[in-house]
Parts: sequence; C-alpha cells; structure tokens
Amino acid sequence: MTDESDAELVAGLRRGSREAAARLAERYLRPSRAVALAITGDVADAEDVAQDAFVYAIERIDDCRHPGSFGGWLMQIVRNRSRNRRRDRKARRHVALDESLLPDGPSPERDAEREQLRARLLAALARLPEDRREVVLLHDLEGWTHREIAQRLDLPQGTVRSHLHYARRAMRAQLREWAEE
Amino acid sequence: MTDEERLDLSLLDPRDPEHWQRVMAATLGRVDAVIARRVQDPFTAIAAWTRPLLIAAGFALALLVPVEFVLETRESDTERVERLVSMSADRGYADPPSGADFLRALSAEEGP
Repeated sequence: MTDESDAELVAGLRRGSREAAARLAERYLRPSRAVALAITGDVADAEDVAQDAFVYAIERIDDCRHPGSFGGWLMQIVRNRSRNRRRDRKARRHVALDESLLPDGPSPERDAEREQLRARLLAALARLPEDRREVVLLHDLEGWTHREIAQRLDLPQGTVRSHLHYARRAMRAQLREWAEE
Repeated sequence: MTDEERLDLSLLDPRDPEHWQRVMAATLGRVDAVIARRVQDPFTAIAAWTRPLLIAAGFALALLVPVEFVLETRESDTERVERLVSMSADRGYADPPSGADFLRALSAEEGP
C-alpha cells in the first residue's frame, strides 16, 4: 500500500478515481467521527455527520483550494455540520444508543456499568472547550500524533500539547469526582 | 496516573469492526454515486481541469515573455547592423562613413 499525500489523492479524486476516494475515507472518516463527536456529544449523530460531511466534501472537491490540506478542509465541514446538527436537536435529549457500542458480554450489571462509564466520558468531554475535545479525541481515541493534529487542524504543535494536557487533566478530575460520589 | 498518559476512551470507539465496515461501505457507496455523476458531467470535468490548465498557461507565459524580449532585442541589433552595412555600401569603400555618421545612424533608431 503506497502512502500517497492528500494532494495526490485529491488529484486522483478529481480525475474520478474511486480508489483515491476510498483512501481518503480510510484516512479521514474515523477522525471526522471523532471531531463530530466532540461537538455533538452523541455517537449516532457523530457517525451520521461524519458520513454526510465526507460525501459533501467529495461532491465539492473542486472547492478544496489547498489539496495538501484536505484534512483540515474536511474537518471544517464536519465542524459546521456538527454545529447545525447540535442546534437542530437541541430540544431533544440524547442518548441515542449506537448498537455497536452496546457491550458484547451477557452480564446486565457489566453492561450497565459500561454504559454508565461511557455516559460519564461523554459528559466529561462535554465540559471541555470544543477545541480541547477535538484534540483529546483525535489523539487518545484516533491515535493521531501531535504533529498530525497540528498539520491537519492548522494549529501550532505547542497549542496541541497544551490542549491535550488540560483536557486530560480536566477529564480525569471530573471522572474522579464522579467516582467518589 | 499523570496528565501525560493517554486517556482510555475506548468506550467511545466503534468497537464492532463489522459495524464500522458497514459504515465505510455505505459511505463509499454514496461516494461512488458522486464519482459516477462527476465522470459523466462534462462541466465538472472541465472544472477539474481548469486549475491545472491555468497553472500551465502561467508557466508558458512566464517562459515566453522573456524569450520574446530576448528575440526583440536580437532583432533590433540585426537591424542596426544592416543599417550600418547599408550606409557603408552607399558611401562606397573609398569614402568610409565618419564617426558622426555612425552616431546619426544609431540615434535614428532611438528617435521618433
């Protein structure tokens, strides 16, 4: 498998290459979901938004003025759509459960425990500023490096490290507090 | 546990690989439809080639303008030599042009 740059994949896509689109999806669909989750706070919404935003980006690929920064451009689309989704559903209380997130084990106690922990993680995330949520999800959930986040979100690396540090500290403190209640 | 250690966010992960494969497949199915429309639409195809064509035209201009300038300069040198040769021929070998004649001939190029 070759490691084409975003610019090469975008060029391929503009020529109608399905393979280029598939490579971009492999590279960016999960991170798009993470960024959407950072904003919507809802797993099912995040998945829908990530898909819609990716397809929209492919439709509008000629508007991507800097193909080498496809990731950053896509993430901005994801953010805009996530905010729209959050606004549209503000009145609606989640949690809409994604089947894939339901535990596999047979124990109802364990299921409930995991579900409670997942809800707490989402709640702790929701208390962070949006940019910190994005960084912590992209780093700790998606496994992006500081450098990748900095490049693709167009942020200084120092800012990424700082966001990550404060996000982790705040989340740990919050989760610890809830655990002690 | 320090703030430099990774948080365990695996509960937020789409842990079921089959589920994620379905999401990918559904997304790529929609993308396929977009690409098919794109390939069939001549305006989109033209739009896709507009940027590389403009870049190529820019390069061509950047190359041709200096070449044209050099050619123009060479042409005027040639004309100048022809003028001097013609003047010498008119005067005849026995009566070579004076320095003033040369200067007049050269300044005639720069005049109106």
